[in-house]
Amino acid sequence: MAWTNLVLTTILGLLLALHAAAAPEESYDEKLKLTQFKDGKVLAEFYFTRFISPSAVKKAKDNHYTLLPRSIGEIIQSFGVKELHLTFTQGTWNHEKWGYSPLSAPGGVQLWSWFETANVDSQWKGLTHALAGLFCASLNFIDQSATAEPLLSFRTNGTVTSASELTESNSPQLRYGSLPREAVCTENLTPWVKLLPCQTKAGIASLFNAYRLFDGNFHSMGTHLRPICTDAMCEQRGIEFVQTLAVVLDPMRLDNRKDWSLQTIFERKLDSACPVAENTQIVVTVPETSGFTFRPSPPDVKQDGKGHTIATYPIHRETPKNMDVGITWSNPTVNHTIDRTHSYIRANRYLTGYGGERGGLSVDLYNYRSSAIPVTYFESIPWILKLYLHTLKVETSVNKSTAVVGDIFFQPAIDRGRPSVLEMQLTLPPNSTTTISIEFDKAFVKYTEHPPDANRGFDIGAAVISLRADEGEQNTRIYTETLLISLPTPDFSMPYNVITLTCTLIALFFGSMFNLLTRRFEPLTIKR
Amino acid sequence: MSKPSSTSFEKDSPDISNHEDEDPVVRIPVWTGIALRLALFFYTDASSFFKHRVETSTPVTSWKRFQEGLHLFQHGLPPYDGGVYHQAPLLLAVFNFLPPILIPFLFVALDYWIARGLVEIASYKRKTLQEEVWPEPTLKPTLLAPPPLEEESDEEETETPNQETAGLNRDAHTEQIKEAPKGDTLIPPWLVDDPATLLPKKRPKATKKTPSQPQDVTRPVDALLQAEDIGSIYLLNPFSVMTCLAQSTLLFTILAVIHGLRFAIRGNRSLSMLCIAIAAYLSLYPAMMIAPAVLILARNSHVGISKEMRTSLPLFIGYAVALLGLSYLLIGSWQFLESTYGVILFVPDLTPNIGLFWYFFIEMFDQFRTFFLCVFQILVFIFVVPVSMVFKNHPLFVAFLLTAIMAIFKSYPSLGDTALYLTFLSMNRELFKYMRHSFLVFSALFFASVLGPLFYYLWLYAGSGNANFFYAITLVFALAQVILITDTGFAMARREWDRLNPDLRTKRVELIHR
Repeated sequence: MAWTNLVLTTILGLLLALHAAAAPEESYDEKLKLTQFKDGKVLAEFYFTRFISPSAVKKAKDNHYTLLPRSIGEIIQSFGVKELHLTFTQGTWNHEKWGYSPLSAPGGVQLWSWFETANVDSQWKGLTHALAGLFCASLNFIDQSATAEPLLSFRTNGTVTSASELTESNSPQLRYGSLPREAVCTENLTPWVKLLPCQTKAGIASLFNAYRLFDGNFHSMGTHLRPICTDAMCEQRGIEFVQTLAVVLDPMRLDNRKDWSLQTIFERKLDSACPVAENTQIVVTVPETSGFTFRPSPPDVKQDGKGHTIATYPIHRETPKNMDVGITWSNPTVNHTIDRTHSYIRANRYLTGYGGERGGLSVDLYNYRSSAIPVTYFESIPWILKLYLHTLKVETSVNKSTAVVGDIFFQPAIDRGRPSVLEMQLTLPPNSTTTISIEFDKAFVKYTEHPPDANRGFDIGAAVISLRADEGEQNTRIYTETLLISLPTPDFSMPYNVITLTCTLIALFFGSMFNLLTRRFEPLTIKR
Repeated sequence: MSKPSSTSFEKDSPDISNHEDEDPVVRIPVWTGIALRLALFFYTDASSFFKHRVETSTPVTSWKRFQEGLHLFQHGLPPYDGGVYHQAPLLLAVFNFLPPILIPFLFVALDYWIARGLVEIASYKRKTLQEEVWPEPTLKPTLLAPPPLEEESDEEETETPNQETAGLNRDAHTEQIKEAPKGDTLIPPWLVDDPATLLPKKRPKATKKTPSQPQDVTRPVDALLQAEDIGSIYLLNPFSVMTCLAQSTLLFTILAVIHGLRFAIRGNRSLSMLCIAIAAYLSLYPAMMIAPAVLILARNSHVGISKEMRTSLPLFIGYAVALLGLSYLLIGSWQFLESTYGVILFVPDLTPNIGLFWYFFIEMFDQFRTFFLCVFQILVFIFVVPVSMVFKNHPLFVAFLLTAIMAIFKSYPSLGDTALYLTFLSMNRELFKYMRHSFLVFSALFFASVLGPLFYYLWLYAGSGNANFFYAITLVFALAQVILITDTGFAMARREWDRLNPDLRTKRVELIHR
């Protein structure tokens, strides 16, 4: 029966080959981008990209998962999520020195999601609770009072809408929430790593050394989910599921030298590629054209024309173990100057005023280019600050203030109900500083609404400045600093005293009035 | 001698025209208050200062919040779809077309109209006081006499027809003093230090020629109030000056309340109910003022209170519904109900003020919040009916009590409310001598007014005090006002008892349950 075996094996092999050739149902890529800035800091960006084809999405609906983690697939299905972006961040991205990166994110947790269901609010609530459980974070604190619906910012990254969908009544809806206060640490990293196909056993994720990752100037891990069209009419849609991790590390801090390698910055070496990954590569970018050497010498080096040298190292299963990638500098000088050609928009947000009653919020937007730049400014302020729209002022250093402001969308806050949302279309004049300022009153909140460390204050999430995608890229977003506001605090030990004292007064009043209204004067008879 | 002088005063007291020249108090005309306001508006920063003070601007009356609402309204945004604007919709319509330069003038004009209304109310009060019937004692009322004045000069200078009897009574009086601890009669303090007895020497001779009334020494002598003074008292009250400078929209409510009473005095039932409906529409609590207005109307038209109520109440409800309907037409939704009356009743905004709600509900346990909200709100309204029943012959005193209760126990009180009831209090000058705690009350009010801003500063700006400091001051302020209300209520009850029981005026009395 040897020949039958042979035939069967051949048929099976053919079938498998056909199957594989038809269309890859799911694919997985890993990419590590290492960029050294002029000041010596190294940005490591990990991309773990999965593409799930429409047919695999259908299988997932029958609880048949391969590369897409089941926990994520169930979240998509049960909450009607079309697109999801969740980032956990610590530190502030320095736009001025580090330029713009798609992985820059505001401090704390940021979550925005497009929905395709009827009752979005309850689905959003379910989503935040599910993600809170999944990532071991307090995402469930993004309730209605912290949820915004941006109208102009956060357009979809994916191809969400086809023409036919726009006419439907249940067009996709956006929800945005952030938790600026969330402390991101290993308990968030561990569940995030568990979603990777090889976890930290193989592939670029084997570099994850929690001690090093959380020791950087900036740390952000993201989970991004977006639909991708697979045909021209966008009838069929697959899912792109990307996990990203960006960390800015400082080799200068370790031994005061610009030289670095994976070993020095992560204390790990790359053992092997993840077997599931189709492509694994490491890309090293240096903002110089000479004065350094790549170690080991890369198979592919090119200049990008902007003064950057880019080296690419493909990683295969055959790649030797204990691979280390790094740079040795012959020119050890560090350049701290700021290059305005790449970071041409800068934003600074700060508080004005003093005292516990009221204050002001100001944002300085700098445009360093000699052309006007259209931007969208988005701000979601919790209800504890009562914004006064009539005090909103937009001023520019150059005298063209009339043309600066386009559309303004403002949603006033409702106490304990929803945040204030301010969204503005601005055209920043060339070489100018534009200042947006608005006044607010601080709310006096119930003693139970204060956080446990009440005198630390409340965090106000970052404002988002979206640059229009005019250079054929994704929308670039710039995040401002998060702010810390101290609200006036009551005396937390006082509830019983206050209740007692106030009620005594009321009892005194009621008793006296009752006396006055029910009793009458009578002559006093004195018995002798 | 005090007794003769008091009787001579008594004689001419019904003569109003003469009295104006007699009173030695320097009259401060109403327009000084107006000039003061305008000067402070245009030559100082007082206006922007008071606009931000929690004592004068509450979440439901603040001018800054009103500006925000107006801004939203003028830009086509729903003003009530947010947590900032809690004021009545029709105010938006009033200010929508008003040029900003006229706004200070409007607020000063509001205060002027309030003062004019108060003057008219005060002259009505004066009239009712004069018409007050004091039954004659059946016994000879010379059992007791007021004590002599300390100044001997009084005795020499004042020449009265009753000097003889006065001299006789003086001896009796000294005996009386000795006996007083043993006996059941006494000299009531309101006869001892009656202010009218202190002013006899400046009395022109002409007044003595007026026909004398039958003398009743046990009747206290009231210095008749001057209607114009009440207007001046309101306009020069620092609390009302501050409220005006803060451009608090509470002034509209006060104006409506005052005019509700003013038209009731004129007997114009419809306009009166319209004004009370406007006041209730603006800040809900003044709906209670329907009680004094109905009492006045019933008194003027000589019908029963219940009959008057049956005609007035439908008018009030009709006007209130019409105002709400107009607001609906203006705003286009009923959202404003929750954002105005909902905020007044449920107190979601816990910004400090001089009242009792804010700290109580900051500190309140969540599970008891609803219960105490009900208790606090019921407390404000519960006294309308009993107070109106007990003091139904004194509608303006009812107005005083109700405005005072509102000023203490409403959810967002401010100094403007205090100014209003203090003006009503100043109309009841005849009660002052019956009051037992006025020194305590006014000292406490004064010290609370001074320490309140200081402690607020220590809490929120200097950081060297905490919330309890300001809370304690609001508590003292409320306590002083509570004592003031009950003390005034007692004074009125005692005076009524004295008036209706001529034979027992000099007896000791006690409060008992009937």
